Amino acid sequence: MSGWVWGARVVVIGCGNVLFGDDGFGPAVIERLHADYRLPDEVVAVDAGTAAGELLLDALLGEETPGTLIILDAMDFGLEPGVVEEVPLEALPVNKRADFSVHQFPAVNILKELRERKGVALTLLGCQVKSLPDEIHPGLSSPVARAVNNTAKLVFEMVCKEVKTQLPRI
Amino acid sequence: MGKRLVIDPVTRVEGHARVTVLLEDSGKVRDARVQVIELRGFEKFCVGRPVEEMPRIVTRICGICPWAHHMASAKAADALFDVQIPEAARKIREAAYSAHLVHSHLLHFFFLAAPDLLSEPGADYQVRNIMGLAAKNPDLVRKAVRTRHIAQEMTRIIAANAIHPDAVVPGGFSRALTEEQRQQLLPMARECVEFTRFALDYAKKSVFKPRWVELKEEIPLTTGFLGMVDRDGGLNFYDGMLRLQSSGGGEYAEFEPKDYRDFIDEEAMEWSYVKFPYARSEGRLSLDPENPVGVYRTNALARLNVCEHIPTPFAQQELLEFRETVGRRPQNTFLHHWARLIEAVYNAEHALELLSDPTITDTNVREKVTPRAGRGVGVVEAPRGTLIHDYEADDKGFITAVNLIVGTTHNSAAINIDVLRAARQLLEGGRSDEEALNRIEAVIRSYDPCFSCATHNLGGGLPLRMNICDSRGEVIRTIHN
Repeated sequence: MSGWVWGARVVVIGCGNVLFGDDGFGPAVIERLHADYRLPDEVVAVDAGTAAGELLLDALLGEETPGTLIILDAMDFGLEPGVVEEVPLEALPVNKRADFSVHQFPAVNILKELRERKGVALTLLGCQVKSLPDEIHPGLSSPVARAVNNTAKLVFEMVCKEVKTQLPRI
Repeated sequence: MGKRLVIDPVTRVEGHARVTVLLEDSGKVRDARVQVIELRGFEKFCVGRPVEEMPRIVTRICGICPWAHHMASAKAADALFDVQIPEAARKIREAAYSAHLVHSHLLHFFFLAAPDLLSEPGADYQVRNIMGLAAKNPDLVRKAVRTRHIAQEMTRIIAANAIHPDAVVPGGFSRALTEEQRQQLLPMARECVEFTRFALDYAKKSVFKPRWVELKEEIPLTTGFLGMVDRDGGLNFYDGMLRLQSSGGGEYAEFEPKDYRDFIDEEAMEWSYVKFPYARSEGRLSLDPENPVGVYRTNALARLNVCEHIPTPFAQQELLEFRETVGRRPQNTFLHHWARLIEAVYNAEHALELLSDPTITDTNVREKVTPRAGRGVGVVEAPRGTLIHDYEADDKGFITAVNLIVGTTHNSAAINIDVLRAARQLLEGGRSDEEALNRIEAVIRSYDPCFSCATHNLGGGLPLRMNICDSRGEVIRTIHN
């Protein structure tokens, strides 16, 4: 079956709930990628909302797995709001190590298994939030909104490089 | 003064919840509460928005059950605009929704429940999960994932966007299904039927029937049940009448979904954000496990209990076997799992049936809607139970009030009572090992609960943690996975 997500060689997943302020960073980058860039055919960028864990478990356990996976999410690591950094898996909270949740942010175990068992090249890009509302309140804060454009550009460059290096030589 | 024991949060359920078990000094369990973090501010957010925006907004409430919210919301908007959708639109909606239900039910059984059911009690957490299951049964898990892919691909073909659908619109469906798409979907639906039947067979032999022999002597929590049926009393997820069965057994009230307030009341608890619905006919709500009053349950077991039959052949055969084995109106929470896989077969068959009908490709799929003041109620059976969207709007078509009752909310009272019953059985004498906690969690998971879909970030966690606190509230012991 030609998969909608998993037939692709490079998959970009935006995680987050757009109803909760800066948590919508991941989906906002995906939206920008679709609006402003022409993604190569081998690349799929998907706004997974709060269903990323479910998607990744399917990727891990199924027959089709992308070669490269880029995950975008909000984070709160005490940095300047709007700072986007690559986050090593090892930097994620240790209490998630044994969790195979299918909801919200994909558990570290799923990501580690994807990397180690399936050989997926994995990049996590986290954006430091300014704040997260207690109640539904859509819309990114100014510093996080400003980070969306640059992150979309960065991701586009990453996927182009990835696809190019993976293309067979003619 | 007693001790407090907290399991926080429950792993492998959708969203967040906290289980607090209150112990007496003697170690006896005094009370247990499942506290839910609710999606707050939704009503305020919706007021002032155009009604037609609602079906798109609500898909963001939850990434796991977006289709149920999408469908209930569009139906509420149909009712509010007083529009009868074209027959082809109804068929397309139902076909997409059935495919989604296959996708969702397989998620619950294989990813969430099966690790509990197919692992030894007390098995290490490192193997008591889907990876452990996959290592033990690689073919089974691979096939389950493949069928989930197929079911999700079906929703994508029908509706373009499978995760955050926007194709169901007030008045119908945003696009017609082509004959080419129908031909593409038919073998996919057949494969769903084949696998769901296989999965049910496998689970009956390896889990349901052997486990039932052990469980049937247990005295279960006795409650009423709520679910939707078609005009002939058959199982239906998309449309029909609601049946609220009394805890006494055979008697039930049957009513139009829009009249739910006449039959269901809601009570607030000081320790929970979530309101506790109960059967109005019983006059009050009591969470006393010895004598619950007004408590009813929704979800798979409830649906099978309130319906007379299932209108597809294989699932109907399974229902007959189920009833022959466990009785006409069983109460045991464990049976949710069996009921859920029967429903997976039904939904796969129903999708195939709808797609086998060439009239589903009729191009008249949308009626024009005109804003009007009024109220509209849309109800579907979500994977996790009866889902009610109730909207009011002004004459310009802007929302003035919203009330949502999700499946898990209907089950709030029953989940609390069941956890208390399990805690009393498992934690007597101050026991607090991981197996006991796992079994309490398994009780909660059997309801397939969705404890809201609030914010998250990389620093957020879904760990299992138990704190045992002394009477001064100080932690004297912590166990976590």
